[in-house]
Amino acid sequence: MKLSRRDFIKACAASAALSLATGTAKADMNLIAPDPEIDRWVKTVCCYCANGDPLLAGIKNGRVVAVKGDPSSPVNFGRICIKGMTLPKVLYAKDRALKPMIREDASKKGTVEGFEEATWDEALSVIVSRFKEIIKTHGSDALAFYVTGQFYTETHIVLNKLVKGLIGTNNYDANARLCMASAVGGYEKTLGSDAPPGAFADMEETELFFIIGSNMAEMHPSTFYRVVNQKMNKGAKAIVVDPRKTPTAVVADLHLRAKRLGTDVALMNAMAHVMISENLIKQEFIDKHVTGFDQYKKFILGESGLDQKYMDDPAGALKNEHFAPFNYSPENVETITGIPAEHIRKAARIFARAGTVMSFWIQGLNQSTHGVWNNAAINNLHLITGNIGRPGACAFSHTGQANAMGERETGSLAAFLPAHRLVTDKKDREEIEKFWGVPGGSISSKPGYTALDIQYAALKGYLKALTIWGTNPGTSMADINAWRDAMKRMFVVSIDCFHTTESSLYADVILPAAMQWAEQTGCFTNSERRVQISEKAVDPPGEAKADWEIVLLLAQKLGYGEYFKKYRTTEDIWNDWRPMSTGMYCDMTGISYKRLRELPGIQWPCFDENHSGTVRRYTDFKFTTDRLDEPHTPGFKASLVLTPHREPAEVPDQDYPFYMTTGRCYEHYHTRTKTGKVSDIHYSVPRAWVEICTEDARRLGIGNDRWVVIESRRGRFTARSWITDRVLPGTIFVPFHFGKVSDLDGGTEGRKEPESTANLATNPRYDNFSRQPEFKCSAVRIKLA
Amino acid sequence: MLEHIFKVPSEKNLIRPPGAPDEIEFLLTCQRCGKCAQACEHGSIKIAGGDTGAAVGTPFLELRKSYCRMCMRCVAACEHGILKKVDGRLKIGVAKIDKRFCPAWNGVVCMTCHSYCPEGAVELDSELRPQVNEKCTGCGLCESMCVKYPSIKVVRSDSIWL
Repeated sequence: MKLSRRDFIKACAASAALSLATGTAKADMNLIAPDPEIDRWVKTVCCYCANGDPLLAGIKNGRVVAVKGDPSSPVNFGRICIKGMTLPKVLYAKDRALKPMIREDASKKGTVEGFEEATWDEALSVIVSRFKEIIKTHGSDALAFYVTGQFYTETHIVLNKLVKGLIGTNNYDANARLCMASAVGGYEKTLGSDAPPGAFADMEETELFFIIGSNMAEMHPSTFYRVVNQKMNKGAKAIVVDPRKTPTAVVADLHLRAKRLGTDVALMNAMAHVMISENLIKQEFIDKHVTGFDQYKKFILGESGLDQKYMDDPAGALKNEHFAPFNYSPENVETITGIPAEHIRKAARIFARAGTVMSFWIQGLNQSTHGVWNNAAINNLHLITGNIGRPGACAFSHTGQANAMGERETGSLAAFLPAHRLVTDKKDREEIEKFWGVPGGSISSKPGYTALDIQYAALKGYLKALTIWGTNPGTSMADINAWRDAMKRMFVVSIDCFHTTESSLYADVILPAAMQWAEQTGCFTNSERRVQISEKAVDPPGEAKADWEIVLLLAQKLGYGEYFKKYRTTEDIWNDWRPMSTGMYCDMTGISYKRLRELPGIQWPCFDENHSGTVRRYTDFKFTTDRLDEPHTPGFKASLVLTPHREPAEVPDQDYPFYMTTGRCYEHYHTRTKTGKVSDIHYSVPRAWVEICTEDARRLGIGNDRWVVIESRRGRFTARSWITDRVLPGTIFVPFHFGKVSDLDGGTEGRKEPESTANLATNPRYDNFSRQPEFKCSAVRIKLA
Repeated sequence: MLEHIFKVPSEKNLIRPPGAPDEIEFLLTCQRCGKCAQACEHGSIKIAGGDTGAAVGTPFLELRKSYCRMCMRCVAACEHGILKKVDGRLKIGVAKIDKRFCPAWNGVVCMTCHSYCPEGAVELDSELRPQVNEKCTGCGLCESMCVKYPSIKVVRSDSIWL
């Protein structure tokens, strides 16, 4: 055989490629430094999404240099995503906040100028003297605190005590308001109490995944991995409902794409219609464990004669005319949603005939002016098919932030108190006052301002000071123009691990905080109610302090030091919290630091130190509706809620002909204060894009990769076009990550590009019940820049 | 023989603009006028420097910085007809995955190259690990989006330095 030189080289290359392909890829997730060089591995929990993936942080010479998954974890079996993998780079980012800073010249708000370094004592004195002055002249309800679902549970507990118990205002809301508030309402209305009934372990038992309004392939990758595994190994089916062809939808057996956004309720009602009219429901389960079926059936089939008490809506969003008889047949709903009737029928039949169904949803349902009804509608489907309380059968609302669940449990929303108690309930207030050891009547009975209400209350002059802690509303809030105006009218304290962010631009005082990951110890509750401990691995840089320490310092300066004397470590705070939860749904009495350090997390409710935690709730089908005072929910039966279809607050018209929906991408997390600091991630996805479908792009003469101006009634921003068939005609998609200053190049401002903040254009109208804004749907027009 | 004269360091892996002929022919015929680089609106085409031996002055694609949109403006700009219009399917290279670096081959759930590929050329196996199939055109979108460079990289598919 004669080999030319060229053939020889080719053969060599092929064999090299072959050896690479068959060679054992290292099973180790650590891609930054090899194992033997690491001094020790510290057990932490990822601070990004609410999967709560355990991460082992590799320490060398006092620095975190590597990250790997923990294969023994039941949460993710060691799978992590690129965001978790690159966390060490975030710790050592250049723009970490290192020293407290004060800005005296309020006219420089909105810029980076005018900040002077100060000591902790000076900065705290400025804050406290302003707070006291405001409380004296305007009352404590003129102060507001806007915090994050990425705090540790311990931080929430002490901060709640300080703000609600001692300062005496309920203006304490967290950014989960933009994220999970509707899910809380949906669960409470149907099953009786907040939090998902099942667990991730259900994914290995289920026959059908019903994924609606969730792009889990990009947002919760390690969960998606388990979905794909279940599909491959056990032949589970997947129905995905999403107007975009996301990477999640690619694996779907049936993909339902709505041409008109915000019509999920109609779709799910139509599925119920098919199930009822084809008699695919589980009548026996309904008779035993569910109330309100007769009314529900009448409502879905469009019969008249609904009982008035089922139509009551405490938030006043729904009126009698919304309950006018309407037949939710697939044909009627096709005209509402744009999904072919045949597909709706098929989806309903697959759903009803599957032995077990596990639904996943997140912002696609939650971020809506009828988010609570979206949530209730999907819970209804699970109730009429009996898909609850069994292994593999679960209505699972994913959460978006590491401790969004912990925040709900500790009552860190404007109307709640710890352990799902309510500020409006006298008994609840008294109980908590006793636990906190504060004088009776300290807690106000008036629910505070929620996230969006804060900005409008400030514009009206009701609020005088705002503390933004660990979150970046400067990019994430709806209607940013209004937000910026509001910030200029208030005394703003920004406490964060980074400066500059879009929020700290408007600060009067900046306090440097430690990162939630690896720089402080505390507990996170993940989506499946699993409490896990994340240990401190390294000291925070500069003068940054852990969040709970800052709360204690602030309390001391305000003169409430004695109430916080007993807290020396986060463990003291945790032990103070456990009895507060005793007897409540989120019972954590049996969860101690010692057990958390030994076990891979414990799922609440956990009643005592010998209890191993609860994988699934409602296995005895005793729903917790006994606490509801609604007349149609007698004890222990789940309740079917009537969910009339309503259009989103803003629909396209002649002037603004496109639906704009916002979302995230795999590489970035929220407003990129962290991921924008990782060079690998930042230079892969440095700027915002807008997904436009081929047909619309051709009609408007927009080419690929051009600057496009997107304009709504509220504001305009620019993004690079991406012509793709991921979106349908009439819809555009924009990621909301991209603010104007926070990334490695100093954002769009640093690059001297037009601003790409998607929330300049989003609609601030919210669900009246959950007060969650409608990020997922607004009307816009687009043109070449 | 010619290979020895044109000693282009192979690690440079110069990807030529669309429509370029075989590497040797390209090195012989390219007039090094730089018109194609000027015509490239996206800044993908760069001019090779002195460290590339005989290739100095020739155009190549820097796909990591900016992937090739295949808009063919460079072909239109080529006054000497070296870059030729291609009928049918264009292929300027082929993406190769380096399993030592690729996060997906090392226990991380990452599907970036798969989800951005406009041709559907990156397939995932049951463990969600990517593999490149024959549909790859070498546009380099995956390379520009890859979070852990150089996990996926476009290499020349038709040159002697493969």
